[in-house]
Amino acid sequence: MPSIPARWIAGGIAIVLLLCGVGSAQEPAAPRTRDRNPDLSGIWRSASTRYLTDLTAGSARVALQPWARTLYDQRRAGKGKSRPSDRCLPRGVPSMMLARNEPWKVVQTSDAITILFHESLHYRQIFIDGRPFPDDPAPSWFGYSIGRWEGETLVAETIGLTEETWLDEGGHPHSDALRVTERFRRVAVGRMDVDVTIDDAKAYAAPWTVTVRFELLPNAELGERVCAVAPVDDSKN
Amino acid sequence: MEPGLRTFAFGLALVCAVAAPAAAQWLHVPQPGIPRTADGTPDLSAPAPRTPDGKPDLSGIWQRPRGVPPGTGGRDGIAEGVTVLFQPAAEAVYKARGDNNSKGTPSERCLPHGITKAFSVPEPFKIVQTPALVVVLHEEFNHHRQIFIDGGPGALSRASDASRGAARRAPTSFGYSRGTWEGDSLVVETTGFVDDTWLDFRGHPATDALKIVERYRRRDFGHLEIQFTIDDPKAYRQPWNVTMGFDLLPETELIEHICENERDSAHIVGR
Repeated sequence: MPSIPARWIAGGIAIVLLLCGVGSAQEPAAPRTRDRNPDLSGIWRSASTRYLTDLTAGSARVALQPWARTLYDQRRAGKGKSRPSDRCLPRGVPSMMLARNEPWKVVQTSDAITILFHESLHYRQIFIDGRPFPDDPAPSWFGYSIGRWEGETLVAETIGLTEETWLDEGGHPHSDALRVTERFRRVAVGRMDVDVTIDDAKAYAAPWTVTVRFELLPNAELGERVCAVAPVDDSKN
Repeated sequence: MEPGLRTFAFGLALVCAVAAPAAAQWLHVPQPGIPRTADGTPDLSAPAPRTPDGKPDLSGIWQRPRGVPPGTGGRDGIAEGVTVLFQPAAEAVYKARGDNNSKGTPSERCLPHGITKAFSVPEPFKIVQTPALVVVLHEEFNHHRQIFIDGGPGALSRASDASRGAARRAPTSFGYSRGTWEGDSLVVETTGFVDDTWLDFRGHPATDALKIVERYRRRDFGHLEIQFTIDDPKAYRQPWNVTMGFDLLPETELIEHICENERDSAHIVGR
């Protein structure tokens, strides 16, 4: 349970759950947009909870640098105490994508992939209009993401993520050198596979990649679910 | 006299400071395709662009014009210069909020502003327009809002599904929005609100009977106008209208802005 008073206000989540269906991986190939790129539009959710719990999925090949190992062990010993999401703060990239009970919607134009999160009514943008990264992006919870099409794959790269985010709920840390690469592949109408690469030489000895599967929620719509801090108690001021 | 007017600017500034990121710096994002004047600057009085299907294209980053008071604040909030006929209970709430420096606004606790309050802040917003869906990305709190467009591909079935389920759908801060093109205006009707909406920072109340109709019109390349009709018979004796203008912010990008009031919630004052 959160150590700081916070509560979720669920508006419309019932609708999401009522209308949820699970996309079948046996469907025909993914649709295309007017500009003939793969169309990633739809409402998606992680097919499992394992990557949110532990992004490495238990892989022993992920080698933490000593300071990162120490911090990770502290977080695990603290059973997730001070986890940002317990204080209504965003989980960041890639963690925000990984909660099975928090779907997200892709709105695709020729300039950007906009991802609308069910969680906290937040959004992130992946710019595919050819712009470069800003020279020195201010650290932020969702970072700055640019993407490009490589054949059937959307390759999104994200930098500028605040060190406050955890890569997963288990507490895998990262530094300001983090670069996240997500390779989105809609392999069927109802299925999207995303290769997530964590490249952070300050925190990990080598880049590492996991493949997370997402399933389409057809005929669903996002609700409004926001995390609220407790009302201010005047008596304690 | 309205008490607390003097402290308005300070209080609002403090709330904003609490919510603001540490470093906010303007981003320059060149947009080669936009109309320009002879000296190369974006031509804000050029005609409004259109989408491939011929509709006015509302896409862009928009902001309240400089010089408009923060939060469209002042004594009467968004109703500055507008005659508002309250129901008695709503008038009492409104007066109490005035007496209390508008303390207790939902955004103190990082709850969404709702439609009119979110548009009244100085921070910009971005419109992403597709035939079936218009998305508003508010910089403040990094909150999004969806407007489902009637007649867009796939939109009709989705909208009717949702209206069939409207009775079961839990009320929300931004409500459920459906849009229709009427000539060059996008007309958006929203219902399904929570029962404790603040229409502005001043504290105009609204109930679950609230219906907001918005008329979006992009007058030219650089100017967007939204006319709001506030219709809530439980709170007001007749509907009232507010119009807000917005200027295009060309060649830039939103800056992430997350509500972090939980870090400093004990220090929040009213307006």
